[in-house]
Amino acid sequence: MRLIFTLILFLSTTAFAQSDSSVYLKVGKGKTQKSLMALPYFKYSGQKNNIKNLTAKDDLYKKLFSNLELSSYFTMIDPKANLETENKNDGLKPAPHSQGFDYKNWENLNTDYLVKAGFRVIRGNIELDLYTYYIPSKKMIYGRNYNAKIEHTSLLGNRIASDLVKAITGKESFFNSKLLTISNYGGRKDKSVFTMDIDGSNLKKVSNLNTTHLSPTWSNDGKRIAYTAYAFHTRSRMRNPDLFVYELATKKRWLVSYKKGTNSGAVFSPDDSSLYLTISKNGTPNIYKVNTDGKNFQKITNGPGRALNIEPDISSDGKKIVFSSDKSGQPMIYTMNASGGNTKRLTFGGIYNSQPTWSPKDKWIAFAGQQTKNYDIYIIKPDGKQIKKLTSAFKRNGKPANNESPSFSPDGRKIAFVSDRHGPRQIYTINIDGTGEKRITNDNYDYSEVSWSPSLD
Amino acid sequence: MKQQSGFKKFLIFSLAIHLGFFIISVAKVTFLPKKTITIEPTMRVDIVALPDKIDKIAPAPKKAEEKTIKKLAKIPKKKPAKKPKKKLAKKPKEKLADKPKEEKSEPEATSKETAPEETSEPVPVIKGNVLSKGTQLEGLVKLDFDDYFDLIASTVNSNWSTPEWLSEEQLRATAIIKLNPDGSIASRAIKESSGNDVFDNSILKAFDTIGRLPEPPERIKSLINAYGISFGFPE
Repeated sequence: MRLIFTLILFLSTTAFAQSDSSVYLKVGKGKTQKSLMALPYFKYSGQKNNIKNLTAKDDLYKKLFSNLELSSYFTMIDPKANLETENKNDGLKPAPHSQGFDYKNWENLNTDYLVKAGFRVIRGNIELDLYTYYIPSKKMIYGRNYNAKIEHTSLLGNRIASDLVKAITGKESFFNSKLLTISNYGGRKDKSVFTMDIDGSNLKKVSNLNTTHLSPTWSNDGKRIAYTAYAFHTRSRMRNPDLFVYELATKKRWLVSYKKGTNSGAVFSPDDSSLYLTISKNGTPNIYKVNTDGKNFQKITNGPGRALNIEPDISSDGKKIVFSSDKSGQPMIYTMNASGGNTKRLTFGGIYNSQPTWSPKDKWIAFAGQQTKNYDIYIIKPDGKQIKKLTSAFKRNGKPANNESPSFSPDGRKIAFVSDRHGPRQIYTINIDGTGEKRITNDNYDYSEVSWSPSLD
Repeated sequence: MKQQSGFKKFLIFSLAIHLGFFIISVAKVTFLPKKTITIEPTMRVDIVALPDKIDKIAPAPKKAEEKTIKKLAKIPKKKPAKKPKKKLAKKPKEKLADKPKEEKSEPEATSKETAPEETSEPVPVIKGNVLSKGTQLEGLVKLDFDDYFDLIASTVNSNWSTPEWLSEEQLRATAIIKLNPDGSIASRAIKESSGNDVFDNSILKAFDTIGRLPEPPERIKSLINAYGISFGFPE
C-alpha cells in the first residue's frame, strides 16, 4: 500500500511537470520549388538483338521523361549524370536485394524521387516493372507492373506519367487529355478541326466539310465537340457560319444553330445539355443559350444599343458567364449571371480584350488582351483583381508577337495558346505563373485556335 | 474489523481519485498544446499609482508632521512609546471615537520616534504615468534579442521551400534546434510533425542547408542555450 501511494505521488508530480519553455519563432510562408527526379534508362531484360524492342523502349522512355518534365512538378536529372553503371549495383530495388542500388548515390545528387523501371517484350506486348522511391526517407512509394501493345507506347507513357504524378502529389494530371485545334495541317487550303495529343503528336481530322472552321470546344465529359463551319446554304446559295456538334465515339454529327449571320464561339453548359453561343441574326451579336438538339433558344444579353456581346464562357458551377463586350466603347471583359443581369466589368485597361475563359475551378479567367499593337495572354481573378500578364515573346523581326486563344488544362495549372512568334501560328503551353513556356507543335502549318479537353479516362 | 473495512474503502476511494488526477494530467501534457514563449513586439505599461491625486494627499502628512515637530519642541522628554502602540494595536477605533485628546498625544509620541527617520528618509512622492522597469528585457538586451531572432527567422524562411503541390495543403509543423556556442546547428528535430513526410523533410533540409546561424550575442546566450529554439512552419 505504501509503495502504491509513493508511486502515485511520484507519477502525479511528474505528470504536472511543465514542458520546455524554449523561444518560439514563426518562420512564415516559404517558397515553392520543383522536386528533383531521377529517371535512369530502363533496364532491358529481353533479347538485345531485337531492334524493334529497343526502339519501343526508347520511345517509351522519351515519352515518360517528357511528360514528367511537362508536369512542371519535377526537375529531371540528366540520365547521363547517373552514378550507376550497367551490370553493377543498379537493380530496380535497393540493397540488400541482389544488385540493389545504394540510396547514398542519389542522396549525393540531392535527389527527391527515383523512378526505376525494367522492361521486356513478349509477343508484341511491352511489360514494364516500375518502382518509385522517395530518397530522403529511403522508402518505396509506388510500384506497378504495366502491359501494353508495342504500338501503344505513347498511350502507355501518358498512363504511367499520370499514375506517377497522382502517387507523388495526390493530384490529377493532364496527360490523358487532348487538344482541339483549327489548322491547315497537311497543306489544306481550308482550316479544319483536328484533335491531337498534348505533346502535339497524333493529329486526327474530325471535321468533314471542305470549308473554313472556327471556335472549337469540348464538352465537359469529353465525349463531344462543338465548332462553327462556313456551311453552304442551298436556299440562299451562300455560306453561313453555322454551329455543329460532333460525337467522337459514334461519329454522329448534327446542326445545332444555323441562323443567318454568326453562330459561333459556343461553349457547353456544365451538364452538357445546352450551349451558350454568339448569334447575330438581327445584325447585332448577342449571347444566346440553346439546347444541344437545337431547340429552345433563349437570349441572354441584349445590347445596350448596337453593342457587341460575344465569346461567352460559363463557370463550372453554371452560375456566371464571362464574355467580351464593347458597350463601354472598346471590347472589355465582363461577367454576368448565367440567367442574365448583374453585369460587372472586369478589365479597364488596354485597347481590345477578348476570348475570355474560366479555369476549371473558377479561380481565374484567362483572356487575350491588346495593350498596344499585339495580343498577350492575361489572367485575372473573377472579382477583377490580380491581373497578370503571362506572355511577352517577340517575332524574328523584333516586333512583339501575338499570343491568343487561351485554354486551361484540366488541372488549371497550365494554359494552352497560339502564338505567331515563329511565323505561322503554333501551339504553346505556359504555367499560370508565367513560367515553363513550351512549344507543342513544331511545323510550318498554321494553328489559329486551341481548346484543351477535360481528362479523358 | 469494521474500522479496517472502512479504512480499506477509504483507501480504494483515495487511490481512485489519485489515479483519475494522474490520467487527466498525463492527457493534458500529451494532447493539449504546450505554452511557449512567442516573440512578438509588445509594449508594456505599468501604472503604479494614480496621477495627480497623490500630489494632493501628499502635502497633508507634511503639515501634520510640522505640527508634531513644533509640539516636540515644547515637550521634549516624554517617553510613552510602548504603551500608546499597544493601545493602538488593540483598540484603535475605540480610542479614536472616545478620546480625541489621546489621539493628539499618540501622534506626538509616534512623531518623536519617527521624526529622526523622517529627516533622514523623506516620504516618497508617488506619481502616476510612470513606466516601471518590470521583468521583461529592456534596453540593449532587448534590442539584441529582437534583432537576433528576426535574423534567425528570416534566414530559415529564405532557406525553406516545399513542393508546389503541398502549398495549398495547410500543413503545419514545429521543429527545435540546438546551437553550439559559435552558432552552428548542433541538432535539429521535428517537434510536432505535419503528418506529411515530404513537408517534414523540407524543414530538416532547410536546417541542413543553413548549417550555421549567426553566433548569438553574449547577452542572450543563456536564454537559448538551455532549451534551444523552436520554429513554427509556417506559424
